[in-house]
Amino acid sequence: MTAVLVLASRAGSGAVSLGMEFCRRAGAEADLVWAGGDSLPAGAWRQAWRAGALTGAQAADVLGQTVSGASYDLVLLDEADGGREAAARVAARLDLPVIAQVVAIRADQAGVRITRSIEGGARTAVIAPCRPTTLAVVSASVGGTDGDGTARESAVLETPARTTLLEVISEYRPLPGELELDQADVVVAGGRGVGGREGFAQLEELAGLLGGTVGASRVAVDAGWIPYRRQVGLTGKTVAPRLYLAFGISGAPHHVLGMRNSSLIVAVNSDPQAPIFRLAHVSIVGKVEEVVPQLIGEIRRRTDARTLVAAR
Amino acid sequence: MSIVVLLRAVSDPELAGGIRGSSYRLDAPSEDAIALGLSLRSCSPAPMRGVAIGPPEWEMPLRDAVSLGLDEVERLWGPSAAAGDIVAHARLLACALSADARAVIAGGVATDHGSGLIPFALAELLGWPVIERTIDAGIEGADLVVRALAGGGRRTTYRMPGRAVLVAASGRALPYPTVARKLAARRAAVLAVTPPAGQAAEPAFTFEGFGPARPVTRHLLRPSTASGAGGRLRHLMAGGATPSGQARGAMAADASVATQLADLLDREGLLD
Repeated sequence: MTAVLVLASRAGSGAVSLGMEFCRRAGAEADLVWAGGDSLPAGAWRQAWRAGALTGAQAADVLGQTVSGASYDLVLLDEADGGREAAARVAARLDLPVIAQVVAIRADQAGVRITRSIEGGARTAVIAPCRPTTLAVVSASVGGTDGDGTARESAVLETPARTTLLEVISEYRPLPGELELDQADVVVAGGRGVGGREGFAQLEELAGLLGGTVGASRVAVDAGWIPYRRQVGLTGKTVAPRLYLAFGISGAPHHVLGMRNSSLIVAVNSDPQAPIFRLAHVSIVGKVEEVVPQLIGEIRRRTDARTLVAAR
Repeated sequence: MSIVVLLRAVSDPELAGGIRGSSYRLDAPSEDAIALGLSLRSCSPAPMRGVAIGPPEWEMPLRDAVSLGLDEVERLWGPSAAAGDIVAHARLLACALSADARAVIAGGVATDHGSGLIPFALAELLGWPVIERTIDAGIEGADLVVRALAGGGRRTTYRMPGRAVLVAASGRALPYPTVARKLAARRAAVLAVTPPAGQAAEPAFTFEGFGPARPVTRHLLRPSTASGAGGRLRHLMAGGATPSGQARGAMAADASVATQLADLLDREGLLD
């Protein structure tokens, strides 16, 4: 029987989702190393170990110990949360094959077949592993499911002590106003629909909560609601952040040219026909003045809860 | 001391048939790596060498790298390099590093179909630390000082006495090379190295075939109670998905929107 090991740290993990789907179809069994919250992710696990929050290098140590003492056919990790680092380190340490950007796994009579995305997602390749154990890093584009899982046994894994050659000298979080548009991971942008300077003050609050900065369309800059250096588009700056939140921006071509390469675009606009919705990954028809305060409240509630747990 | 930059070229159909004689160009992450290397060299003069694992068609983009500021470039290619195995590539690169290399700089994706795993595997083989999303690097005294992006928009500054593998963050602008430099780079020699056959391991996997892109849905949204019956039907018919380029799944705002958006940001690792 095919044996699978999953390392995950987040509810909605793609590795958990692909692993469970594979086990259901192939009649395989899966073990779990869980570095996440209290409840296990969805699935009937043969065995589960709990580990604390892990860096990529620590996850590699934990995974290396677990894999070297057992015979797993397939080890699944998520691309995020240090999964790439853990997979690459374990592969180099134990001389195991590793396949990245995995989007599907199936088993047929010839054995396990892994489908990975190539050429920036333009094509896929089907790969047949040739060695007994293969590491698979699941693409961030694979979504997962929530839910409570069950396991026959659950133990706590000790995280190995690791000496590091890196000394952290300083760490700081720039305020939204300090961060230049092209340096930000998160850009919270506003357009005509934001309504004025008060609306941009709310966007700045949201950007602060997300560790990002504020951008704007040309209309908002021309209206004097925000300085020109915050303008995104053909006549402003070109950005490609991990998250681009577009509030009240219609999506005129000169604006879209400056942000279309963002990894995740969320658009909120009261006009269901707004061109920005043709580009957005998540489209919400709604009023900016309603959605922004709700989102600020929700994010603040979550971060406060985490701070409280961390303080305990 | 020397700085090594890992390079990768990609095929660009717009360059086919042009006067360059090559349809390959440096990819954007390699340009990020070169820019970071130039930044490091500006505070501590050192030879900067580019290393790529790629076919002979990559020589023109590697000469472009010379025009951007690299002192020399080396191209590794042979049966052991062509397999696309990450660990095998990392071993080849580890062997190709000179003893005086102080830093290895890579772009966000590496030479193996853009997986981004090579820098970590290389760091493991060399026993060096690796720093992701590096935005700046310099030398202070004898130490390497590196500033990198961390979660939640934070900037972390590291100091290390030894050597390191640095993964460059995207978006750093490169200086445009002068015409004289570009012409000189056209005549630059690209050192072609065939790794010895003894380094070739048995294949880790075989490619069975290629297929079209797989449609993936990153987020499923629940239909809004605030939208009309028609809107809810359209939302459900789109499977609740809002893939790029299709507004069919647009949801109307109601009380659950903030919760769903926050869930989405949480899953993407964007909430601190």
